[in-house]
Amino acid sequence: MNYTIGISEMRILNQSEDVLVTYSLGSCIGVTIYDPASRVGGMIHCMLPNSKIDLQKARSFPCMFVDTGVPLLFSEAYRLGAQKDRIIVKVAGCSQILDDKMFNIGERNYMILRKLLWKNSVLINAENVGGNDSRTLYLDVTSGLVTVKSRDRKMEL
Amino acid sequence: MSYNILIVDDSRTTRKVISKTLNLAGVPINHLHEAENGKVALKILEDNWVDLVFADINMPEMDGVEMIDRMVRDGLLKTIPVVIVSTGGSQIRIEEMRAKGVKAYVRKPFTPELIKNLVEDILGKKMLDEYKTTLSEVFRDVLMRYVFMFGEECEKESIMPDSLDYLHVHVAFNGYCEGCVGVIAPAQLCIEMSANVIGTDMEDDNCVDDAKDTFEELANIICGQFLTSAYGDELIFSLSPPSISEADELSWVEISENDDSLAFMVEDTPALIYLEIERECINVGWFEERNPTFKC
Repeated sequence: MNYTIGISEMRILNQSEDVLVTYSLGSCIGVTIYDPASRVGGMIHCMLPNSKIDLQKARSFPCMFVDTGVPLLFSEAYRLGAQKDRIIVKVAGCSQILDDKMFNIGERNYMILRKLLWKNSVLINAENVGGNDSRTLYLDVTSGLVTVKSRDRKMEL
Repeated sequence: MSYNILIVDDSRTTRKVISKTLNLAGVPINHLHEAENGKVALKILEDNWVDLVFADINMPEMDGVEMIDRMVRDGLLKTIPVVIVSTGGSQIRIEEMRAKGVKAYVRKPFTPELIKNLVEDILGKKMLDEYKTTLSEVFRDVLMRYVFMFGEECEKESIMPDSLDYLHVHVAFNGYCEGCVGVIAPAQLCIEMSANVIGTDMEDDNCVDDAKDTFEELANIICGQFLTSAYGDELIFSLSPPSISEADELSWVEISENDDSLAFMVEDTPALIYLEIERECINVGWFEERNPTFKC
């Protein structure tokens, strides 16, 4: 079964036969994490980089922001049995949409994620970011396979 | 870097003299265009990338005044410096030309040394402006990739120093040319940058010492990246160890008043970055003489 993750949402699955998918990753950032040993897999679709612009909204919708959503993704995964040293992290999105040249949201989303992961000693295993195109991100929780679809081309990440 | 230059004069002799002068001055020339009047010159400007124009006033078919007027109308005078080289010229005429945007007015006969100095001033400044753009791009890129901060260039007039303590670092370089790259930023910003780079919290005991060390390394990286972007991989430069000092608002103001400094907002905090380059970098003949295996 396909579980769709919307903007500012996340989902963690444990030993499931399902696929997590998120659509329309433009300047937004999609992050997947997967522990192959415990078969815990999760995906988040964040819209904005930093929660300080609206702390109240971040409390209600933590997945909207990279700096509040991604730590939550990891902590939920740990709760279901994932271990940090086994987790594989893959990233997609962060493109520059034509009318976003002033705010560079895509770039900022990516930068904040890199900063967060660096501070917490986590490396990115694979990524498909940047450019101008929208992406769709899939995580098959059975196998951990991550694929990205962009402009009708589907590729493994 | 080499330049495309256009000489506009109905006198073939004058065109040869200016051409020879440019060679003597060691100006690196990619392409030298010649035109006998303004009409031919405008056609050359339409079809070619030109970095500098020398133009006479009194020419048949289209004189220098009309040519300049057309260049103003087409917006070319904003991007292509023009030097008038003419026999006469009242003060009123000279002021009119300057008001239109002409860079300099030279009366014939002129000395080669005068042309040489003019070119060095004009192309030196043009080159420095291009290098400042490169420096701005490098700083922004290094901030994003190394410090995980977003920085945008802004108008110097729009920022005010609001800190008591600053750190000022600069790195000198020499090789094909000499100069230095420097950065000044509030100490608190440097602490935050360091925390990001090392991946620690700002409350750690060694945060001030770490900030200085990180800031030095940042300047080192910016300088290295700038030189590679500006001059390519083949030219080797020698970099001095970064020199860091604690600074105050006076230092900030002094650097801000320097035309060669750029202002940045790093997240919400202002910082200044500057570049100084010695003029030897356009004297290709001088450099090749001392480095016979290298050809520009």
